[in-house]
Amino acid sequence: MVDQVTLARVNLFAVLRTLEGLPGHDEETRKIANGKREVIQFTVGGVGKARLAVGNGGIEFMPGGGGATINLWFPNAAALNAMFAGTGNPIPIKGLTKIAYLKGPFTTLTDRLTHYLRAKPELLKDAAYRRANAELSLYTAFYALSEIANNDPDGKVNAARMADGGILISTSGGPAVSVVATGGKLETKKGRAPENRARMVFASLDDAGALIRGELSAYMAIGTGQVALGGYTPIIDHMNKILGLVPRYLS
Amino acid sequence: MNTYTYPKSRELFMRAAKVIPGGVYGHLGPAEGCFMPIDAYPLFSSRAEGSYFWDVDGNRFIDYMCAYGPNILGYNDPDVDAAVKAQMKDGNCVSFPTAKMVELGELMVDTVDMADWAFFAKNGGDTTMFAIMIARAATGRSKIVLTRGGYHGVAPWTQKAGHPGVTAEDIANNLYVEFGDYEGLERLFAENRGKIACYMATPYHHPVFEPNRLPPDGYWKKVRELCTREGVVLAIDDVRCGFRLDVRGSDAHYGFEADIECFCKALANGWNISSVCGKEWLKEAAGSVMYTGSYWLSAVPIAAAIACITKMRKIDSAKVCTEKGKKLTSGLVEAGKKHGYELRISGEPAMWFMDMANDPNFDLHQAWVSECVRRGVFFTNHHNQFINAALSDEDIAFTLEVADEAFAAVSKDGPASARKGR
Repeated sequence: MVDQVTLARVNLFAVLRTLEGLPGHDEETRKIANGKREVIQFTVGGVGKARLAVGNGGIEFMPGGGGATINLWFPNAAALNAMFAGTGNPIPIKGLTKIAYLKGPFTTLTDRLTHYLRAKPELLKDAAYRRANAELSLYTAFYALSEIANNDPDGKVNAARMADGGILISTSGGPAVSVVATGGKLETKKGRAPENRARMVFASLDDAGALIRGELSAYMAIGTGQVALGGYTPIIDHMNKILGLVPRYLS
Repeated sequence: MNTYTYPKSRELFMRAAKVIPGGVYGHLGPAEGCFMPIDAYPLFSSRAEGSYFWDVDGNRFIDYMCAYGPNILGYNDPDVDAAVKAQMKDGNCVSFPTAKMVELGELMVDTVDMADWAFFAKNGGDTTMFAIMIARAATGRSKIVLTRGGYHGVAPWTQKAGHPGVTAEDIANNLYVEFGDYEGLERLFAENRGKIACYMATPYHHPVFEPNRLPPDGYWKKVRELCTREGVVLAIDDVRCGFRLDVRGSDAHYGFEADIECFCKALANGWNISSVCGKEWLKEAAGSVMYTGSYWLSAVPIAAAIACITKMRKIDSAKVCTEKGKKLTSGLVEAGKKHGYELRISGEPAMWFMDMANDPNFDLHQAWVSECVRRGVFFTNHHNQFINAALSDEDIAFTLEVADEAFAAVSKDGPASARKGR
């Protein structure tokens, strides 16, 4: 069962956050990111706030509220989820004059993200696209994992069993993230965290992408060595149970 | 010493993965966290004899997993296999059981101290489920008490909330207590008075990933009295330990008497049969539960069990395994010391657990175990190991030689050797 608050947190703190990495892969996004700086604040009733700063050469995601040039308000989790599903619209409460920005550059950004996250077989033939899809999907999936662990009922019971410490998820010669458990709560951090006690190492970024897209079986990949596990195994075991919930929220 | 490689295992795994979920699933498969790094381990065996198995690449291993317990006398034990061959000539799965079933029932009652009756099934999980059903039928109560981290099979009620395929309803009647915490158990019983059908536990605590724990002094005597006082069925899951600690049952080994005892693994030296033994007062309830399966009364595994129990009694296999276990584990500890490592042994010597001191993330342990496996000594990372009665002094000596060399390899490479191939 998909929990609406969890889904909203996944959309806000995992999917939206992935826009940060988009300029590194996409020319159209770079053009927008090189334009005038706008800070869009998302306020979602019962979920929380986050801001996205676009411009001055990059995109920055900032959890929590603060100064913004555009404020979007969603009365509840379902309203935010409707926007991400393309079936609803936010209520702008500040920056009404910037609706053109939302309909223009911001919509372009989300369309470009969708282009990279919703892979089509013909696009995956291109190495650069495949790399972008794998990297962006990896970040989205593991940011989503922490939100699911901290909010979804099944996620919470599994997270509560995790000892304190981190798990490094890395790809040979590619990006790395760390999932750090503290008191049964998870936090995903980019790169290697000092708290790491266990590791899940993908033989290649292509393998990571294939696994996240569901083209490669996780169990088979462990047997072939395409995913190597090591270190303090119990926390990996519990994390994998939560990882199994991620497709429910990102499909 | 040469180290092994496994090209044929890998090739076969790729074939398997195309048609079998996970390639090799469950506890014999690579995804259960016991084979790390995976490239140090074979994935398929081709044959076995005594204490050894050979993988599909022709590498020989001294097998300290013993098929995760069933191998108690040595693979292909001649006495057990002769009984099997003889029974195969007479028939196996037929429309009626044979006299061999009655013979095995009598032998179980004669062998297992607590047993007034015996019932036969196939797997350990069949027996733990049946034990719970008997307890509920006998008491009219719903709840069961299990120990945290205890393993009783793979049926939904034995698993945890939030695990794939497990619903909240599946585990709604489960209560949990720490193994060895008598006061906690007493409190749980008081809080749920009149609602608890059964307390199920292993005779000692042998979880994966953590040092195994023997019962505290006086624990089982107090638990026995508490269960009797509260009208709760005391069910011992002796699936893993049964016959390895004591042919009379592990409750007898620890000086108490269970109401129900579940056996599998060592019962027939690898032939597929399990058994539930019980006290007289539960016999009617056991008979009332509709519980059966297509192959449960097949005669060949029953013949194997008769031969296996007879031989275990004759050679006192539990004592043999315990003594060999003590000799082996003391040698392993010494080998570690020589290289500056503290290998910690816990649990019972016949099925010991090992880990390393000052190794909170298991890197050192995984590195050392993998170096042993590459040299022909099959340990797994975080599960208890097993001794079988066919293990020879030469096997132990070879194992210690390998252990020494593996520690030397770890000293040279550090835990980074656990990451070979990444």
